[in-house]
Amino acid sequence: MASPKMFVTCVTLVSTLVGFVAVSADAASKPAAVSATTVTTASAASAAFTQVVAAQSRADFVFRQMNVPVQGHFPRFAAQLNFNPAQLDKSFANLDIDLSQIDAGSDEANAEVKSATWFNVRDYPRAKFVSSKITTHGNGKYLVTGTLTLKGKSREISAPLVVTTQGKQAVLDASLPLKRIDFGIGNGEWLDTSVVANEVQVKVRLVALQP
Amino acid sequence: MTNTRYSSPAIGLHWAIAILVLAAWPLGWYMADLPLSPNKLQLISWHKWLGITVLMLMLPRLLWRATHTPPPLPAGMPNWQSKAAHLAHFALYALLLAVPLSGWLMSSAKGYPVVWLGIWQLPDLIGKDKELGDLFKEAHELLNDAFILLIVTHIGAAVMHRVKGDGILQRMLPACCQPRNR
Repeated sequence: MASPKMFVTCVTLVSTLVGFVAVSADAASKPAAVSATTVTTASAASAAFTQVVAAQSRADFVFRQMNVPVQGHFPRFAAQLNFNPAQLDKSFANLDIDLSQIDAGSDEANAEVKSATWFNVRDYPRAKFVSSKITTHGNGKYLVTGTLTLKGKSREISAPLVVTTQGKQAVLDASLPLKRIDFGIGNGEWLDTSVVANEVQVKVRLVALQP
Repeated sequence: MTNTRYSSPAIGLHWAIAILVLAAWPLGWYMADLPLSPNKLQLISWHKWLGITVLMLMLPRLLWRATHTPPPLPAGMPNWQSKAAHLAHFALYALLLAVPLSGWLMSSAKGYPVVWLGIWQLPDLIGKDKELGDLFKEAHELLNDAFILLIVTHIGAAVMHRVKGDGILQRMLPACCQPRNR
């Protein structure tokens, strides 16, 4: 049941990565370590983590209704990653989330959140995060700043990022704190944040390999 | 005081639980088929708080029952009646546990934890599982149907005993509310 979805995710990710490689090949001025086919790096340790392992990567979220934490999930998303701890100025992490596949916890909730009152997935089927800056404060702790575009509204957000590397693999855990009202998610009677809280925590885990 | 009546803690627990059950049941019945709205989510939470409060009050109640002998039934009561009374009371205790527990299981399986009064998050009894969630929903409703049936019988029996004037109803009435005659 999960494997066709997984396959689609893989295909999406691979095509995204291929697309990204093509774009960066055009930008000849940037000799960023992108993929093994285009760049040979001096040592494995300094190579960027670019190949996202779709099967191990996840995008989840938690929201609270009547202070009850409810787990949600984005089954389909694409990630473009170029993470190099030694070259943070050239590093980036972009996400493209398919909102039409959103799982907000139950069938009833899924039907509701796709409506115009919430995400309006018919008119705004995707959410995008494009990073602009990654800074570090040591010990594998980073801060990603970027623009989140959701339901036609763009806002700059900063998300703590924890990276653990082991050999040629890195696990990036980002936690994006959002305020749903900022993006017009949940209008009308749902503007009452005493029932469904304004704060939504999006948690993204990317598992990435060096080429 | 004589030992013909239940002690104050038993009477207090009986009526506190009775009030909570009689609030939780119509609330649950009403909210179940409402379209999704903030109001519905609020009512669901209140229903869950009531049910968990019943479950919590059942702890001292069972403890009391295990450590005390209830006042005896009238000597002249037919054997079948006392047997039926014991059976019904046992079933009521069982359902007072099973109905809220099945609701808690349903909440856990559906991925909506119970946060009692909005402040204390109870542990999930089982992991999220859609099919189990639907199953526990059915169980919660079926157990509740049986519970309602028993409560109606329980109230009917209490009224019958009052009409007969055998003092059974008075066993569970607080001192303040004893009928003047008899």
